[in-house]
Amino acid sequence: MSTVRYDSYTRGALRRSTEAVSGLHFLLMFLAAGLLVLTRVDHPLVVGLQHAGRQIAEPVLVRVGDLAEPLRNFAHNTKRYFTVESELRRLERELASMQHLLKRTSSLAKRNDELSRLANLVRSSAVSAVTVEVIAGPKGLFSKSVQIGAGRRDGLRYGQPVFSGEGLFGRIATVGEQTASVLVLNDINSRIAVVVGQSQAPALLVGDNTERPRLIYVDQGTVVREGAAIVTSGASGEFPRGIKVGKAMRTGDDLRVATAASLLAGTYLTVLRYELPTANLDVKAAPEKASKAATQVDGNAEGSAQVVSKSARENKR
Amino acid sequence: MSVILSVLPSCLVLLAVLLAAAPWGVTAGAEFVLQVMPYMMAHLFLARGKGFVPSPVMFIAGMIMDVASNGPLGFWALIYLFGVLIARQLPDGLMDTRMGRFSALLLVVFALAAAQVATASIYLLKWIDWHPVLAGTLMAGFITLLIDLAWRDRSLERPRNEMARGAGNRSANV
Repeated sequence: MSTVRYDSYTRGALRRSTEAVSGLHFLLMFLAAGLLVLTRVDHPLVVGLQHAGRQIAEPVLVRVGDLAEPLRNFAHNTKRYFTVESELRRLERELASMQHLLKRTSSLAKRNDELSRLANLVRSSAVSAVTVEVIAGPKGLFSKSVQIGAGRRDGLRYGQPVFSGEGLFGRIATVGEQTASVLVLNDINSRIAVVVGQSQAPALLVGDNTERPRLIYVDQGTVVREGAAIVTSGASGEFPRGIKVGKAMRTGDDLRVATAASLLAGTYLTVLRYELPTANLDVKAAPEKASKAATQVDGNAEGSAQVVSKSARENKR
Repeated sequence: MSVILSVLPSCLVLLAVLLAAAPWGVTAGAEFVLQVMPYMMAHLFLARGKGFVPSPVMFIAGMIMDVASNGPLGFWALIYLFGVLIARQLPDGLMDTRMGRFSALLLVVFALAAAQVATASIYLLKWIDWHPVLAGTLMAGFITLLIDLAWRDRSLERPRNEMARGAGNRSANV
């Protein structure tokens, strides 16, 4: 009798009733595959869905992020405990070199001020920075972008440069009211105009989801030495010129860049609230020329912005 | 009680998604483990025969993961649903023993890793590095295996006790 009751408790009978795969399952798989295809082609519907989803998920993620903070701090402190000695030595070396640099910089600043006064130089407006918390790090195979806990209401705009530690980390890709996503330098969609070494040869820094982004479109005549400094060129108008990106390195035939900033998002990032040179232009003042020029560059936001700027300048003249 | 038990797997899967999406500040590569864990929760319940997570819940869990990880919409939904599809095709008797469940888990882990690499490669139109994906999925499978080993199956223990009691009663009657 007991044996019969034992049989009635085996898992098989319970499981079989649940295992039939319904048509709904295949329909949902098809829907998921469809969404994936639409995301690939940047369909506006999917972009809107992603944006709306982030807006909904954001408060929850912030809360969960707060809960995770003690653990995050614990992990961070434990890691620091083991590296504290080497870190101290590094900081001592850095301090010594910084003191030397400080003396040199102050004398150069004085000289620069004098020369600027003599040349009657008009300075561009001051750029402010804001430090923001990372609420979701880069995850998985595709995205090397991170989510930060500041948005439009904090003065963040599309395209603003983002720093982590010692150099450029990425740029703002999408901005919500309270959050924004940062496209990291090594993301497959990242393209940054840079200049290489002392020759200031222009090149393009291209992310390919690896730790070291690639350097392409370097002039054939240019010899790029190992360790040559890579800085932003400011050519696209999105970034100020001269932001430190990293150092050139060779990997086989590829030219790659060892970035100055760690591309693994830490807890905080700094956003430079840099307005695009075209952001404050009064396009209404030159409606005809601007619209004509904008239509010439079909669909390219960056390109059209540059063209609008040119036509506005012409109009001023 | 049965209502709670029926919604428990779904709730745990959704909780696992939220936990996986949180910024834990873990080392690089850990995301490959965390992102598979919601499916592993569902797999654990399915393998144990303690209930199953409905397909729409798995779809929603995947979508939340996609949004939270800034990835393309539909990727994790597709992978989770594919995992469930594979797990449900396995023979009934396989899940009744620990060795059988281990084999099923190993099979699902490799299928999931292959599906991730294949889908991502097609999406990005380039062959992606499969090592971190396989390592992450294997690690998630290992964690699931540990949970499975630690899970005391009361449905097996209870009848044994009753058998013992029955034997005792019989001997008392005799």
